[in-house]
Amino acid sequence: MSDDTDIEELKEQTQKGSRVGAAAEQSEEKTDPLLEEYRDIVAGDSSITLSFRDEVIAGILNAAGDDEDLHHSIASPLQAELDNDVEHAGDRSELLRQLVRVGLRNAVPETAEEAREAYGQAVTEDAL
Amino acid sequence: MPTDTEVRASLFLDKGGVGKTTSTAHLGVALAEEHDVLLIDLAGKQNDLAKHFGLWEVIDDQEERWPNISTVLDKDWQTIRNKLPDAVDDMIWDTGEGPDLIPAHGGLDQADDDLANVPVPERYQFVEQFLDEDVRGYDVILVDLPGLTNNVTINGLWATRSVVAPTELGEFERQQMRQLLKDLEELSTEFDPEIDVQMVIPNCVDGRTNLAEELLDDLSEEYRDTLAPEQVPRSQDIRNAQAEGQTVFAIENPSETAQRARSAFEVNAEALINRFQS
Repeated sequence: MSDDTDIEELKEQTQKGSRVGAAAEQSEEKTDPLLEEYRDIVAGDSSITLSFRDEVIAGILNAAGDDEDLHHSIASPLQAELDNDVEHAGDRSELLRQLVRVGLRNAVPETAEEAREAYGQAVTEDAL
Repeated sequence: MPTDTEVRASLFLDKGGVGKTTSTAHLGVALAEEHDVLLIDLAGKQNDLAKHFGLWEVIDDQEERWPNISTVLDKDWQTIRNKLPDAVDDMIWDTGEGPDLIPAHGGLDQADDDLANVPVPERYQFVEQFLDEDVRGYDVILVDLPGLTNNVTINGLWATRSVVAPTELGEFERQQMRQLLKDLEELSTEFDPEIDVQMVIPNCVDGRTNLAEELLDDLSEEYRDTLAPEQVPRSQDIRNAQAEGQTVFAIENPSETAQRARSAFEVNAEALINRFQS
């Protein structure tokens, strides 16, 4: 990085403006990271496959894959919570997706709502 | 902290419209007759001190100027100064009447907000560090502060450790003077910098009224040790000069009240220096 670049970065970081302008900037910054990520996802530039290791959850999902009643007992309340079709049981991946969505909605409802809006905006922008 | 040979003072009262900027400009010009004087405007984006010297349009055209006085209040200031050796010189303007000036900047508002995220006491020490390490060659530094107590204000008080308080003669102003003394005492108690009121200047005095005389007598009694030797008379010439971007010292044919105002600022300026030296 050249000295000139350093100075330009410092200027950008430390040039101060009015109180109202700074507040507006902060407000914009709050939704920017989500929107940027969804723009990448919609454009196909970012992965949408997730994976993690957890013995307890793996046990539940494996058992639900073998036992239709257990699968239904988990899937039904999740689908009701998400306003989905109760008759559509879905596969193991779908069950996991719903678990995470319900968790997000209950634990961090504001973030879940911001993500929904940002995703909608990214899709709309892509369609235009 | 100020060195033994350097005079630093903040023009401050926690109230607008008492004559802080006018006093800063005129004391600065009076002091510049015999000293190298720097004026620093921390009073806010309206940049009244620059207007007082007719620099407003030139400086306003450069609102994008950077670094500026609000940059000094940023944690990255020392990095910037190291990369830009002329940064301080580039901030300083010649007023044309004697003193130099570091003008205010619109970013002071945001700087004040940003300071709230800095732990104390560092939050209040940016201007002091700037004056200690970066400003050279001045005998007198006068800082014009906002008419309210915020983080920028405390930075100015901390850096100068001395207050010159212009005050008009009125009950509100008298109460505000008492509050100023309480605030400075609290600051000294909580954070240790000893901040003194060096001079109380009765400003905009209308000598024709009995009420003014009574209030002046009260003020003399209450602030016997710090009261300025001369009161500054109300003068339309001061307002006219401001409108033309100059002080009354630059008026060619001053009125009688303007001459008295000039004399008052000169006497008070000399007294201020003497008080520091003693």
